[in-house]
This record gives sequence, structure tokens and C-alpha cells, in this order.
Amino acid sequence: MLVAEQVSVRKRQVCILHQLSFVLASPGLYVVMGPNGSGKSTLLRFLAGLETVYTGMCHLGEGIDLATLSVGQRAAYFAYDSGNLFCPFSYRVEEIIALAVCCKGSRSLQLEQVLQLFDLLPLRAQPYLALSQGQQARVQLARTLMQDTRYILWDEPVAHLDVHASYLYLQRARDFALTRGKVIVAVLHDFYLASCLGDGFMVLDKGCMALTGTSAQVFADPRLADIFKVCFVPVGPSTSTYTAIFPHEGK
Amino acid sequence: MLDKSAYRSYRHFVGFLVLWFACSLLAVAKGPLGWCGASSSVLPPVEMWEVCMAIRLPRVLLASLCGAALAVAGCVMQGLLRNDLASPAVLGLGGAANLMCVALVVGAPSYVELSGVLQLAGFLGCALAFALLWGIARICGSDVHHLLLLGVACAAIWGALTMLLLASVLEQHELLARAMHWMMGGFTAATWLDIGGCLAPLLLGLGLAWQQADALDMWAMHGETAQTMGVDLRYLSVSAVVAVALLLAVCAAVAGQLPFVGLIVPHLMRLLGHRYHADLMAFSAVLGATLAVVADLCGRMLRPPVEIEAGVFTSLLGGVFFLGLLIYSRVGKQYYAGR
Repeated sequence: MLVAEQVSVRKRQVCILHQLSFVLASPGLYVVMGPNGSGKSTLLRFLAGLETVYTGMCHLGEGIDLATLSVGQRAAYFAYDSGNLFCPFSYRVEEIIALAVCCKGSRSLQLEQVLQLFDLLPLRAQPYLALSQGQQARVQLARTLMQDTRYILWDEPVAHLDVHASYLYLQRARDFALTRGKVIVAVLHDFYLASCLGDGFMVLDKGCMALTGTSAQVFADPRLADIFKVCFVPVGPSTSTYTAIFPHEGK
Repeated sequence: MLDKSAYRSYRHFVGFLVLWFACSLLAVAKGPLGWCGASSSVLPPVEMWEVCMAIRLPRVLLASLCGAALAVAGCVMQGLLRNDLASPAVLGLGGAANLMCVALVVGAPSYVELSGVLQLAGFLGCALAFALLWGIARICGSDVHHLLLLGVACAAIWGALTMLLLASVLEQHELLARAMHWMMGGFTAATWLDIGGCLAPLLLGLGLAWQQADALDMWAMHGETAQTMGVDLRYLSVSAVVAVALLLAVCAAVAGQLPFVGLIVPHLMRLLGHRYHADLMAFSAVLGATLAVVADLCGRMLRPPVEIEAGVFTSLLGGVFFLGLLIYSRVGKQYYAGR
């Protein structure tokens, strides 16, 4: 269980996150949403231990305060993918994923399982730099799973994936999290994807926690449209309506 | 799959070890005075054996140690700067260590005889040069390419200052001859005492480098990603720089400059498919040792009894080989396909 109480994060004297309080208890896929600049990435970086200037408390239950964890200990609780794909040397796909095993002792996960989850088995011996960006992104996601931590932090994991792949791999990751008791925290911009797969939601607006709750609660809330400056319009005959999303100007 | 490639790389490693051993054996057995064991007209066999044990063997071992140290230092620098063009020589670290050694020889020749003083000077030179480079890069907010260019500029300055120091003792022939040894880089006066003196810092440097091998692999992904994988970045960079400084200091103190070893050996090993830094360091160490031994042998054998310093031949052999490799791999489309 991860509990954050009144966490405020500052970056170069600017307060990016204001007094966030939230709890990540049960396993599943937690979605962080919000307009650009609302502090989504900073929230993930804070959890990953990359933002060290903050006030408030964040602990993992059992009296483990995040502030007291060393870099090595934190790597046993949190895995993080920043969305960075760059690598200067030509490692093979499986070598990059296996790197995550170096960081600590737990070996309950097999490399093959993780490769299979992201359909990387046929690519395992390929040079990483020869892959497309979408494939590289899958390698990085697989690397975070291989680290075998309870909390997995993904900053825009589907930015490089096509529509089918986004849904497929996010769903598989969610199943993985539910069966193995992991908590995946992912920043997503796609309303449809988020509403289908999210178990819990945190919607940020200007550094504050604007909405939290389940998919049904968040998407029924009228404030969501205001936060994102969009309008949700039901389209089609009443028997099979679906919701189209328009920017405010399109009203 | 991983197991099979591990097996293959193990066999490769034994192959490289055999190559190094064969070259070393040849270098010990053959010299300007003739083959060891053969009935020579110059010396009786027993004295020939003495020559091999007391002169050639320490020399070959020292060449091996320095070659290995430079190659491993190159691996660490390339890993730390995430660029396979980075090498201690390109960044001017070797040049700075050299400058300090030459300054000590010219300025305070009486202290040179004390064991470890030259190595300490080299270590300080290297560490200060790196601190300077890092400081400038920090102020400029440099990326790696800018840092490399800064290093090239510093290297030129250290080289020029070394030349100026040499020019100041042009009339003192004995001093000049001793200082010139550092300019060309070689193992002419190697003794068992030299090996004993450099063993401790060398092992320390190699150990530190080896210890950081996994962290360098994670660091290659991305600095912050490495941190979330449990790499303490400050510890990594400090121990990597100390390792490089120790290794370079040893080489600068006993052999002077051996250009190119730190650049081409790790590069070649990457082209041969060694990617994890632990793997890379082990292979580079053996190949670096082989290259230094062969360069030393060439220098002894080309025009006996005149000895040409090994540094000349590491440049020549390394340069020609590297050029050929780059052309071949580009033309053969292997370079980019394999990367």
C-alpha cells in the first residue's frame, strides 16, 4: 500500500504539485490524466525518486517512509519508464531487458515470460537500435516489468504504439498486474483506452488533484470536460450511441 | 540463447588469451640478441636465459599490464560518456597525466627515483584534468559531443605544455632523453621493480572498473532510468573517474603515452559483438595487452640495436588496423547492420 499525504513537489523554486493526497492499495492499472503541464510526469518522477525537493509524507505502509529509502532499496519497490528510447550502444533486445535483473535478487520472473507478454520473442536477438520506436517502447516496458517491483511507473507508455497495440499490451499488462499483485501507474492521454482499462484514476489539473475514483465515477463527472476543455457529445442512433470528443472550439 | 552466446564468448576469450600468450612468448624468446635457448654467437645460453628472465620478461609483462589498463580505461570512459569516441587520450586525460610526469622529471628530477611519486603525479594530473573538463562542461551545460570537443582542446593544450617543458631543457641532454621517453611511450627500461610498484594501483583501478561494469550498462540507457534501477550515479561517476585516473597514472608513470589503445581496442570489441561492459572490459584487457606486447616487439626488432618506442607502433598498427576495419565494415554494410 502506498499512501501519499499532502505531497507538494517543487522544481527550480516553482511549485509543480500542490498538496496531493492519494492511496494506491489494491493491484491494477492506475491512470494519471490531465492537460499538458498539469504535473503528471512530475508525479511519476516523484514516486520514482527523481524529484527530491518536496514536502509532505509518502510511505509504503509498514512504516517505510519513501524519503528514507536508498537508491538501491527504492529500485526494489519502483520501476520507471520515462518514455526515453535512446541508447548509445547496440545492445540486443534481451540484453536490455535482462539488465533489470542485475539490480536486485528477486528472480521469480522468467525472461521468456516478459518477452512473450510484449510479443518480443521473435525480436529477442535483434539489435535494439534496429527496432522501430514502437518496438523499442515495448522493450522498455518489458524492462520495467522484469525489474519485478510492486509499483511500475509508465510515463505515456502508448505514445509510440498503434491503436491495436496500445490496447493489446496495456490490457496484458493490466492482467499481469492483477494476477501478480502489482500496481501499474500510467500516464495516458487516450480517454477511450483509459476508460476501458483503468482500475483507478487520478486526474490532475494545474498541479492539484482534481478528480479521483473509478472509471465510472470519473467519466460521469461533469468537471472532466472542463478540465480538458473538451465536450463529450453522444453521436449516432439511440440504440448504439458512442461518445465523440470535440475540442471546445468544435462546439 | 543467452547460455549459448555465453559459451561462445567464453571460447572467444580463451582464443584471445592464447593469442596474447603466444605473442608474449615470442616477445620473451626473441630479441635483438637472438633466440632464447639457441646457441648464439653473442652470449652463451645461460646468460641468454638471464637476459630473457631479467630484461625481456618484465618488459613483456609491463607492456601487457599497461596495454590492459589503457584498454579498460577506454571502456570505462566510453561507457561513462555514453559515446564510443570517448577515450582517455581524446579527452586529454592521458596527456595531462603525461604532462605531470614530464614536469616532475624536468622540475624535480631527484624525486623521480622515489617509488610511487611518478604515479601519484600522473594520478593528480589525470584527476585534475577531468575535474577541469567536468567543471567547464557543467558551466557550459555541455552535451557529450561538446564535452568531447572540450577534451580535444584540453588535450592540445596539455600536449603543447609538455613540449614547452621539453624545450626548456633542450641543452640538458640527459634530462631531455629521460623526458623524451614519456613523449614516445615505451618499456625500454622496464624492471621487476617497476612491475611491483605499479601492481597495487593497477589492481585497484581494474577492480573499481570491473565493479562498475553492470552500473555502466544501466547508465547507458539513460541517467535517470539507471537511477530507478538502483544505480547510485554519484558513486558510479566518482569510482569510474578514480579507476580511469589510477589506470592512466600507472601507464603514464612507467610507459608514457601509448596512443590509441584506449580508443580502438574497446571499439573493436564492440564491433565484434561484446556489449555488456563486464564482457567488454575482459576482452579489451586481453587485446590491449596483446597490442602493447606486439608494438613493443616491433620496436625492438625493426632496427636493432636501436629501439623504437612502443607508442610509435601502437599508433601505427592501431591506426592502420582501425582504418581498415572502418572501411571494411562500412563497405561490408556490417557496421550499421550489426549495431
